[in-house]
Amino acid sequence: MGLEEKLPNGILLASVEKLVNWTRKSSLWPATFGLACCAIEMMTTGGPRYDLARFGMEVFRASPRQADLMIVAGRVSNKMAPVLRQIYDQMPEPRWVLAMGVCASSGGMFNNYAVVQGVDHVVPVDMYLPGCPPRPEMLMDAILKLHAKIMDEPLGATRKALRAESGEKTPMIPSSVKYAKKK
Amino acid sequence: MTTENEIQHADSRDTTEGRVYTVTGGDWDEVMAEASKDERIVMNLGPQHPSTHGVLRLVLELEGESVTQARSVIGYLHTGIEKNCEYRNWTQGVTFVTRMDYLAPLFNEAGFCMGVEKLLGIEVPRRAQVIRVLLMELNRVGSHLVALATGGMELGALTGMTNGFREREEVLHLLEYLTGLRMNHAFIRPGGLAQDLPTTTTPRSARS
Amino acid sequence: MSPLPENESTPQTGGPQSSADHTEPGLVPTDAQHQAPVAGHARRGMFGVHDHGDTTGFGGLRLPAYFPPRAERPYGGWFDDFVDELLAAMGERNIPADAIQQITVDRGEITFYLDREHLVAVCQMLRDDPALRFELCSSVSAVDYGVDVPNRLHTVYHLTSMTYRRRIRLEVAVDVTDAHIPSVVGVYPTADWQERENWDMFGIVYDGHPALTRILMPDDWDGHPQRKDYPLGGIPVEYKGAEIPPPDQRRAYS
Repeated sequence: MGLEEKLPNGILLASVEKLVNWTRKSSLWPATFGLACCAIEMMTTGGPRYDLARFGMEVFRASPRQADLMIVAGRVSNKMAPVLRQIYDQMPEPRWVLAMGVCASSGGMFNNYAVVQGVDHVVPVDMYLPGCPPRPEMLMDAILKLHAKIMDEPLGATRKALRAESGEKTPMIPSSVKYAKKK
Repeated sequence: MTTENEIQHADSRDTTEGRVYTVTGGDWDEVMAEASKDERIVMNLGPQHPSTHGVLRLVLELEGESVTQARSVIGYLHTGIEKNCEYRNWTQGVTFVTRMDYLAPLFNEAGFCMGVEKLLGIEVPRRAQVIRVLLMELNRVGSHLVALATGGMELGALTGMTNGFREREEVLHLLEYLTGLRMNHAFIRPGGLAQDLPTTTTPRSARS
Repeated sequence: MSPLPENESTPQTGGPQSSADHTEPGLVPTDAQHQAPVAGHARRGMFGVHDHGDTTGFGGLRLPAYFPPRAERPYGGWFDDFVDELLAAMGERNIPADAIQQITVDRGEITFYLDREHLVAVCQMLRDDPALRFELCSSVSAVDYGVDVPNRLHTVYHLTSMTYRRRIRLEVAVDVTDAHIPSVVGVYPTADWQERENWDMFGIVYDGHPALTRILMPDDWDGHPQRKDYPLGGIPVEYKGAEIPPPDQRRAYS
């Protein structure tokens, strides 16, 4: 198609925006905020069977200063909420938050005085993942959807306006598509 | 270098660079003793840990690498489960209680259900008791695997973590086959179990 | 930091949001001994619902007030010998026998209701006396029996003897207005954090405790959450177009 056909082999054309977004999504380092049961499922997702390393995410950075994605896994109590905000503030831009589990998304089954009813009361959330706890496959699905969202990020104000006008979005693979062969 | 600072057991020579001291013998101990006073650091190992232990805040007093005092602050995961259970049935209480210790949920359920059965004077059928014990032992294996895996990770043996979680997958897969959920199964209920085990339990367990 | 939901100013004593059910006049026996150390309260329905629109399914439940029965000799099993040894040891240490207000034997477990003045002395005796030897304090917890119950706050001590392989329970009852109990930290150091939890959740002050501060709630929290007049504190949840109130406020949906 046009220019790419005339170029010799081995040259790739891309837009800077797509390239930057691709680099951001391919090595999205998580900062764990593992609190309760969802933390165990998050560790399992990083384990060998459901492997997060294939997405470049096996390095769970201890320090939020080196992390891109904060996975809030588990119930956030009122005592923990200021700590959550502090960790979020310590993360440099660009940063994303994934609320894993119903307790992080909306307070879950604990509709009471002790639990913050959804971490979006404390930090801005990019992806909500229900489940109690969500299966590792569900967590990976949420992460892949977040990757698609990251690929959509416009770079610069003009492109942001253009993108909003045209309504162009990266196509997301729906969760109903299965890649594994049926036995 | 003034003459007041003449160090004992030290030859000195004047050179073009200045005065050069040659220190021998026990001087190094004196020097080190001067240098290593007041090395005490108070460090806050805050509620968010690199190692996912859950949340525990430790205020440590360190002398070099040794910990001399440790004070812990807890309460970051207080969920108000007891107060929630006041508005629930006995059976609904199981789903809350199961999330207290999330590594061994069946044990929490069993403790709660045994208390309820004692209060209500119910006797659990023998088959249900045996199945409870079987499930709890499976859960114990899974919980200990997490302990070994995260313990290895603390010490730096990261492969221990991956191996531990790989084995835990077998346990969780079997528990999912039997109870329906990988974790937080509300399976042990007051009076027995939620359901009987499927008839293919024995060959399925033998496979794992 | 206000712990209460926005649509409420203060927790109402026994109000619609509390889990304390209201005593109904027909169900309390008129000859009830109100000097008995413990009284559960009469109950009508469950989960604090006493008006219309009960969705719990327990609307027809009627329970009378519960007074744990004073056990009469013989108690059965090892309890008789045990109580004899206990009273003998108390006599040796000059603890008056009426420090034990009541003994209850129920479902194979024995409970002693104690006076708070002699609590530490009794615990010391239980730990040190060679015939009793309760080395392990398994648990120190607290109970709130309901809003209009006299002496509603109890502290419950579960003691285990490993030499004799037995367990007993001690209960000390205090009123909300004067919720002071001497601390047993000198006898059982493990009670340290457990008494802090009871202070945090119920507001029982333990005199003599080394550091009685909040342990589960944030340090500047107001109120004592596990008391019966403290509301559950949930918020209404919007789900599929409807707004569902928290469990203590759920009524008929039509």
